Amino acid sequence: MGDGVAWETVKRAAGGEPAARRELVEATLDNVWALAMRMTRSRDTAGDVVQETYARAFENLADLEPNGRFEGYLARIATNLVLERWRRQRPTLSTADLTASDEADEPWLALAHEEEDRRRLSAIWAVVGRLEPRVRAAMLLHYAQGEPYESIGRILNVPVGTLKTWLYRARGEVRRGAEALLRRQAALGRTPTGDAP
Amino acid sequence: MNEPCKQVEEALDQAADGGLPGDLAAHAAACDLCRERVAIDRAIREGLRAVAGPGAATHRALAAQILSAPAPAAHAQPRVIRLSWASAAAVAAAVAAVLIALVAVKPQPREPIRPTALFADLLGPLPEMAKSGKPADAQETGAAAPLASVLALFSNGWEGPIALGRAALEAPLATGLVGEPKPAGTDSPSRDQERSRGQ
Repeated sequence: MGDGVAWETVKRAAGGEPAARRELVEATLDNVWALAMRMTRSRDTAGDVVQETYARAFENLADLEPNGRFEGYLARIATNLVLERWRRQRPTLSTADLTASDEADEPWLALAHEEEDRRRLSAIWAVVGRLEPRVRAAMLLHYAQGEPYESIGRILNVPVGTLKTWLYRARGEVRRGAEALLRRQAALGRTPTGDAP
Repeated sequence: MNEPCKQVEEALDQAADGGLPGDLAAHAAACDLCRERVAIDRAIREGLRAVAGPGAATHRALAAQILSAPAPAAHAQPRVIRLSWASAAAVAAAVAAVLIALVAVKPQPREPIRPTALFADLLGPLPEMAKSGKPADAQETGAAAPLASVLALFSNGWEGPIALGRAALEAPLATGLVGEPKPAGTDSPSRDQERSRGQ
């Protein structure tokens, strides 16, 4: 995220000034989108999360204390919205899901130039999808979104020490899971998304 | 898994930045398993960041939808109930009235219920008899006269009936509550007499 939105702008938006609200949205929309997209892996769902994030953010703007970053406030709302969705859905992906992702549009795979990179990323995302929701959120906020520990701790309401433990364990789990998945798929002669090579 | 491979895995777990010490890095470069492991670790650290932006059209559409929502500033004010002085005075008066009413209906200590009061409630128009404790005049009360006598017994609580009972036990014939011996021949006919009549 950038250097941040000025609290003066937030204050003006809280007062109902349309120009200030537009300024807030323009300055933060792409980051909120990226967070929602990384977490939901679906453009449609990400769009819903983004809209709801701003709706909630503007609802409580007048009560917002001017400390921390406004982007962190948005990230907290977006993350909690995604966590609500994850909890409503099944807790983890089944083994079958690892070979046939239900979140079909995976634009990040197109960003990987090498076939090997795409294969690895696909396996990693499949295993990340099996993590417990809050750990998954922590991992994506840290590794994908680049949020600092303190910010993630505030978003997920966990101490930084606990968060670091989560991340340490989750990274090892994802790495081992992805390794196992890639080995299994290599043995079956299939790609992680279920297509024959 | 041989020992250097295990060390690479442990080093990757521990390393915050994914870097390996020189000797392990040399091993990872030569070992297929470790090379893949390092590549996956790097993909976790760096590859997850890759995400396509919303695109100009999606960005515009989302921003328009977000900004077209009604401004919540009006109802986002702190929800504090502010009263004018007149409203505050009315509320204070209402509270005072409720307090006064509560004090007024505070339960008073109850007097013990006297038996006469019970009878009077049940039988209605006999309060004077119950109060005086004297038998009412038969002319005035008519059929209620026997009741007046009974009520009079209770005019001092249970003392009257108790005294009456005690007197009955001590002198049964004098009270009239226990039947006096009847003169011979006035009693009901005996079974023998009835039997002889039937014959």
